[in-house]
Amino acid sequence: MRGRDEILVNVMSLTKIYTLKRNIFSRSAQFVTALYDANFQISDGEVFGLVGESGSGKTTCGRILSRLEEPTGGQIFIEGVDISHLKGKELREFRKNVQMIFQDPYESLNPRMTVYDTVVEPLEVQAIGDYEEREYRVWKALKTVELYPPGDYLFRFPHELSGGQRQRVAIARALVVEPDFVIADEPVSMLDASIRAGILNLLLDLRSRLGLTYLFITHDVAVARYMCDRIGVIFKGKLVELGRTEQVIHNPHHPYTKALLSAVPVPDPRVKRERFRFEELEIPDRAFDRGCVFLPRCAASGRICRRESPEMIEVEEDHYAACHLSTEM
Amino acid sequence: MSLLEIRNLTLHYGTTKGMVQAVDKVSFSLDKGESVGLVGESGCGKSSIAMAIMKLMPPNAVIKGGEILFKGENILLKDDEEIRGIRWREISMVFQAAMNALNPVISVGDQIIEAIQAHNEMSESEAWEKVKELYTLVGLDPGRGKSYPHEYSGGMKQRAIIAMSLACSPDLIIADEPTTALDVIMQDQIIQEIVALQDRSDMAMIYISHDISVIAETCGKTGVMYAGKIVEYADTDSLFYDTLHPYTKALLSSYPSIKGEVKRLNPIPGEPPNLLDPPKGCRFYPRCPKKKEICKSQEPEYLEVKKDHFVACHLVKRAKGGGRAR
Amino acid sequence: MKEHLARERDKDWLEDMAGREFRTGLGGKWDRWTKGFLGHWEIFRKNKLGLFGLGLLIIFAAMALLSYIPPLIDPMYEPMTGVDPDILWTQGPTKAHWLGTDFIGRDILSQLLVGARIAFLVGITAAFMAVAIGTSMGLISGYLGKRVDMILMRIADIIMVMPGLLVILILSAVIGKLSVWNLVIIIGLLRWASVARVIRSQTLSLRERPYVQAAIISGASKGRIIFRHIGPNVLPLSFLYMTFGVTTAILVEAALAFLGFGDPGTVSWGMMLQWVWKTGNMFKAPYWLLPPGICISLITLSFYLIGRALDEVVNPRLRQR
Repeated sequence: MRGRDEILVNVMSLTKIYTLKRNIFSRSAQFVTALYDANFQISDGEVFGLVGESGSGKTTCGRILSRLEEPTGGQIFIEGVDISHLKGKELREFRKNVQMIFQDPYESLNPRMTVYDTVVEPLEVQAIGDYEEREYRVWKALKTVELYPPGDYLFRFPHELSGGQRQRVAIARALVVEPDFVIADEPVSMLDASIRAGILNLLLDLRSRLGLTYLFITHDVAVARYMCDRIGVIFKGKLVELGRTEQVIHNPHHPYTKALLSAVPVPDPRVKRERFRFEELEIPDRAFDRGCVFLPRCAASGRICRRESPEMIEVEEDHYAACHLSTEM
Repeated sequence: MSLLEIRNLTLHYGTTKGMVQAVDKVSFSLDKGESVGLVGESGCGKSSIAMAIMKLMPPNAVIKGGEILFKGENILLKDDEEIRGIRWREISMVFQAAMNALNPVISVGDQIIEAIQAHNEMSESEAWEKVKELYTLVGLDPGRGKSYPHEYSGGMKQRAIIAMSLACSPDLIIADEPTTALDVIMQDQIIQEIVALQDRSDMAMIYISHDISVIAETCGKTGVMYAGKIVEYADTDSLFYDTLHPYTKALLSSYPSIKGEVKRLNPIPGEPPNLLDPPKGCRFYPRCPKKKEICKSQEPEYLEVKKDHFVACHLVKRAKGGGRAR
Repeated sequence: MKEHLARERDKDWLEDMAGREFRTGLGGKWDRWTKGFLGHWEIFRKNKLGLFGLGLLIIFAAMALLSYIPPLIDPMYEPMTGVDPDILWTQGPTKAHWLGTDFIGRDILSQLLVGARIAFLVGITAAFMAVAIGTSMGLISGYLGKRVDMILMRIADIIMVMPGLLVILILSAVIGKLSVWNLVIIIGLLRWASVARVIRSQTLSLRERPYVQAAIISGASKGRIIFRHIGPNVLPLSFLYMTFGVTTAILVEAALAFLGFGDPGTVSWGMMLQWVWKTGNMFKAPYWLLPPGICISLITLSFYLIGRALDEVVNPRLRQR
């Protein structure tokens, strides 16, 4: 049995590099580093947020943790098992414990399958229960996601449902195998504001009721603040800051985090934001091995930033930042 | 005289399933130099209004009633020739993800010149000067005019589009979700540019978005739309601090913020109504937390209940001294 | 065991589900297929040209069915062997022979009707083969990727660059006279490549859709994903290609017959044209020359128009509002 404070997910030096083959005849090839040396842990029952802009590598991280892809380097331990390169039967077992919710509710469901077909599939694939048992589980899953009465929704097709309802079906599908860990990749960014709130609250309730653990991927800092206990800020494939949400938001250390936070609009006309200055954004990327990844955009860099890539240091209790100019606690 | 006055605009779309009543008796006005934000969720009709002002509606759109008075003249009655004269020179528009509308095989500068020369008698060298001017205005490096769209980032492209829309110094600019496809930091920079531009010039702006935070920071006045109608319209500060309509209140409490306390968000149960056959009474009735009997059967009037503060709700009493119906 | 007991006690579930009719998306429950079909018919109906094509097709289908009748009326109407004792050469339309007779006195109308039958058989069978092979190859190639993809696509490329007609001519010269069924098989084997390419690219894009990724995360096997998720979403495209395939097959058969490489034992429109030409009657007997030529053109047109209309059904973006 797991308990609170136990580490459920342990990511160590996670790296993902894509090779773009240009020429089979030449030796050289182009590489894209999507993730580099990412380290973080998620405790049992925690909502951990991965915050970054598009192209930062956060989606890649989610895809690797759900084993849609394999990491190039590093290891991922989920419930003590190294899942980085699992295959066959073990991979299947793993798939019972980790599920994913996607961003686009319109593409998350097969348009030719009814709600029942979609939600029962994981049970069929994992050979759980007999026919009647599965029917019951599907029914229960729909009730859990507040699609009530489930009978009304079971035999509808996706085009007969609204965006919010579709996303609930996707959540039901993820829950029906009773996973321990759920990866949510921007689950509400394509939904309207009023529907968003409903889904976010549902996810939080499910966390308490079912004892779930989440990796919550988003570009929206305000949503991350609402949902997450701890967050990691990721920039161009590198985790630059990590810690308890309120600490990171109210006392950011890394220049990128500061810039990001200062750029978030606030739904209040009386609040004046203080904008954090930084340099031109549009500069081609440089290789990772030399210097800090944020250097071209950093307004406050020093000489060491050019030479060495900064390590994560603990700047406060359970608050880490990767910046040469931060002082260790 | 207001720069733009919309009176009882009603717009329907013809589809195979019937007429979608997308916009219903919408009225508001805009003076020179003012900025108005139109906020609402998907399907509320805000983009349709923008299209109607520019007369860029799709072929199945039907104007069922109302007027759009620009500088005193009804745009809806003008023919194509006249509209083309107004478009870009007096009213211009920035679309959502407009950066994708840039022709990839022509340099960005040349595309802007195309727009300039289409509406002004200018030599090529004069036009280039104008391009450099515009670039500086939107925060782009004036030397990069000869580059191609793929050499620009998303944020830069959007700025170029904004530059293009400013080329003829229009009196009114309509921005329909200009920053939605961009990252937060880029969005912020562009919003800052837009606000600065607006302050400097006498340009009026209609800013359409589903994100109320952005509107709170950029617009002097805000109109909240729901199911094709404006439910509340006031200066932004009053809308947030003296909210009158139940929908506006509910909407405001469904946006999380990074400032202040973390409060539990309140979703609005239910779904927006089907505009093929909208309900008889108030369109928000089924989801309203404060509904009364009258809301079910009678459509609320759009009234000025306080100075410059309009609401369409049965439950809001008129302030002493009254207001006038619009 | 616990789950069982929980279920017994969950009256809520039993009440809710009592009397509800089970409906599934895949596996073909009738009401889904018919509802879907009717929806598609609505869209198809709007395309006037498509309806025209369909009308033509129905006429040809009727012709094919009617082809069995003339020999029953009188053995002289047998398309291959029927000989009118009164007329032993080619002659224009008469009361007995509505379209006239060919060079040995056989009834042209019966030949025309049988030709319709052959056109349908050859066209549809060959097209079906090509599309069946092409779709399977495309699905497998697109989904499995890497090595398998490379090998299959090289094979497809090789086939695509082969000049089809030439290959058939060479084959028939080598093997000898080809029967209609040989022809069908050869056409099928040559035409699958272009279908495979299109299906493959569609598969590649479907593979990245979230619902496919979700199925992978649930633990679904590759086979299941290909046949349950990607397949059905690719089928409309396959049907579309079948209509184009029918056109090609009919034309190829007619061309071969005309050139003299067809099956001498079957009467097809191409054969009829060959006979007109070979017996030097091309300019002398328009009643003989025109009907098969017009039929080939019209049946090709009809399939093409139907294909275009189907395209609107398959590709929602092409539809008019």
